[in-house]
Amino acid sequence: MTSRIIKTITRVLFPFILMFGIYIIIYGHLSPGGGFQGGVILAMAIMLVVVVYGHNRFQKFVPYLLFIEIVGVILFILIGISGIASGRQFLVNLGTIPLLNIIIGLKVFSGLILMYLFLSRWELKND
Amino acid sequence: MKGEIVKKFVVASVLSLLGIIIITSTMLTYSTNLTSEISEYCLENLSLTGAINVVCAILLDFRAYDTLGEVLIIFVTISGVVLLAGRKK
Repeated sequence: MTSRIIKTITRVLFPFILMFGIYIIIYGHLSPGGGFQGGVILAMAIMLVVVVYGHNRFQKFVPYLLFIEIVGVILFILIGISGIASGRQFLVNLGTIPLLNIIIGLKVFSGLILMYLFLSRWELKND
Repeated sequence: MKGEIVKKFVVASVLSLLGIIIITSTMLTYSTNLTSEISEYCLENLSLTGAINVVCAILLDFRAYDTLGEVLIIFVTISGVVLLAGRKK
């Protein structure tokens, strides 16, 4: 199904898509973009590779992605609690906008890839 | 044959009524003044947040609770997908 042209173009484009996603995440507080958008772009880069090269070699990353997902939620709430620890309200801004952007980006990235991997495996199993 | 014509008439009248409702509500929404004090407050206090991007400042500072909710929504979605589709045979 996948020809040699698609495989070559994917191999060339993959690092640039990753770089663009990371740029969108890191510069989210200065230019248009943010955690969600950059995370979706990163996930799309991985999904492109999964579509072209098959999803079998990616199944071993599933526990790490689940770990990132769970740790992301905990870190977000911990940053919120750090506002209380500094004597003000929950989720008050202590210059933590880039940090929250990075956390949200990692979470969206791992979440979308997990959804895609699980649903594609389920589809293959039920064929 | 006659029942079919009546059915078509009913469908066409319902759809046109829906179109009229949508167009009227859209025009009413755009005719009212939506700029409230909240948006002016966000623009005036933008320098306090340390971010230049207004959208990011609203998402992660003024409305951080909404972002927390979105993060939790993604987490619950992943949990459901893993629970339903991640079963090993």
